[in-house]
Amino acid sequence: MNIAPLLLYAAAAVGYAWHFGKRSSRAGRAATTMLAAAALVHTFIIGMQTTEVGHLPVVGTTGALSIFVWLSSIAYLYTETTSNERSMGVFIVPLLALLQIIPTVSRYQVVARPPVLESPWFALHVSSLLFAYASFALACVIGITYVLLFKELKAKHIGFFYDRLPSLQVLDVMNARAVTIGWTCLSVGLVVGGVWATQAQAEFSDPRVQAMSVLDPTIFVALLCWIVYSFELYARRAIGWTGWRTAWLSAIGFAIVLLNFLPIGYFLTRTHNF
Amino acid sequence: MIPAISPRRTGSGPATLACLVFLAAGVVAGPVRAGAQTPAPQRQVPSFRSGVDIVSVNVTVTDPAGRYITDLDLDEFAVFEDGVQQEPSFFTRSQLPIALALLIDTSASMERRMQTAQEAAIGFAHRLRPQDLASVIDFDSRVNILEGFTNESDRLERAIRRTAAGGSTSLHNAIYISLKELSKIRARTPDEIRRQSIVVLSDGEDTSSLVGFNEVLELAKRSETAIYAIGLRTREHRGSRGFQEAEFVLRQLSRETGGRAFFPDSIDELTGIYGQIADELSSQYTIGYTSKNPLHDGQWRRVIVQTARDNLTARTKQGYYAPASQ
Repeated sequence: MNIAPLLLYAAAAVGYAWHFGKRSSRAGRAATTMLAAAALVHTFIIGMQTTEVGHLPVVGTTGALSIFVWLSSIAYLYTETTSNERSMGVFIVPLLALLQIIPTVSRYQVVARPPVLESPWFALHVSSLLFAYASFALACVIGITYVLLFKELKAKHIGFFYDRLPSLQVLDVMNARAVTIGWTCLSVGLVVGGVWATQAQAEFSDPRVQAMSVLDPTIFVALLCWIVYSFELYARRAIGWTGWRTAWLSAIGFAIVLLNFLPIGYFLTRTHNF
Repeated sequence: MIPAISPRRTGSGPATLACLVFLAAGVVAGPVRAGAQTPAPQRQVPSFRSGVDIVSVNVTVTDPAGRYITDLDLDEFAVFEDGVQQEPSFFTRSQLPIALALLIDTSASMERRMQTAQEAAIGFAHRLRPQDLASVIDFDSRVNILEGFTNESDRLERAIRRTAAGGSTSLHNAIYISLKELSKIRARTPDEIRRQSIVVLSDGEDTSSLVGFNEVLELAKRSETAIYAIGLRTREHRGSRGFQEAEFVLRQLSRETGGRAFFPDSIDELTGIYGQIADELSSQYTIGYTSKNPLHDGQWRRVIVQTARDNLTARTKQGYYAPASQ
């Protein structure tokens, strides 16, 4: 069933690339329509899965990845609509299409959550973190586009990105907003996760729950992310860092997020593999 | 869109359309405005071939007293590109519509002078003609487009009255964003062809921009926009290193783009300066030619315009970048 949103994400990615390359507003509108359709179909699938098992299908890395793609598409659509800027779709939608391949080819089947995950704290923990990661993905893409445009201006080879991307100031403001939202959600997710883990460790003898500590790779990297993004916000407010410095920090932060999602989430975690 | 100096290859996108429309406008307007245009080019029906680069320059001519001279004919101009005299194929001294960005520095240092600055800018906005477009942009730590391009002076006035002082100065950002906004204006019909300008009022050096002076200067040189700069001197900052830097930036931007820089000692001079800018914008000539240098090497080409009459000064953009091979 995940093939339908994958195809729509891929079609939207092609549309955004066409829009970016040819500056065709018709292709841009088609890409947005395609992405909205992808998000809608994805919502429908997640809704079906939720009805099937009685909770959001966030158990396991693959389920979380699918939700992450869905939230990212909604976050991007919101940004595009509010800023009237389509030019960043070419950078983020292909990434979503690529990530959506994993739940599609792995033939992800939603599974009922074990009793240890039935706490409302757990649902809040997971949804906060996924929304944070979706915001960070957006901030990363915005940061990369900022650096590309900045380098073009510096090199005085003005044209390609200058004609297609919004101004540096718009990108900088969007980056700051995405990081602020992401950091807030990440903080909530980490605190709630800590509360939930403490409660669960007292109630359940599941070795995965008992092994939860800051030394667990998933938790450690999540805390590392929080430190990087906290520094970015601090640097912006207290040191006056803006522009390419914060753009790079957003890109580095999301590289760490991806590290947590893919290699650590699939191969190294000892605790977050329910 | 009227390029101040803009080499374009016909048949390559919206900018080309503007150029074609620009030339078409000259031909269409010719018989009607016989006194305003030279006969020879008007009789020629231009043929548009793929690969033809049209360069157009907006020229301001003044006498030694600074008065604008508006009755010159084409044969009284000589246009040189890298020292080689060019043959103009288009000439007009008609008052083309304008698209301009009105930039107002709202950094904290402007606080005491804000009201006077607002009134002067409002007076300028009301001098615009119905066919002109203007936008209002304020800049302090951030650049805000308070009003997008419109010909409604009431809306411009309301936007100017919304400006409030506070924060640092992002002068480079403001010019960069204005150039970007102006580049979005496209002419679809001859009536929509406009000379583009930025009128910027600032009282100090840039302190918080995301782009540097060199990058902004480069963008300005590549644009089709004349920059008119008003640098407000204050008693305490006069002669300071910061203001000298600001003065250099404003002078350089206006000089390179064929605009003009003003440095009044008193805020009360603002109304008169805005008036001079309005007069200048309506007193310009536009001369178009096909460059004798056919190379598409992307190199800078220096342009000089001279007049045959004695004691007159012709001012235009310093040059343009040749198109690069694709």
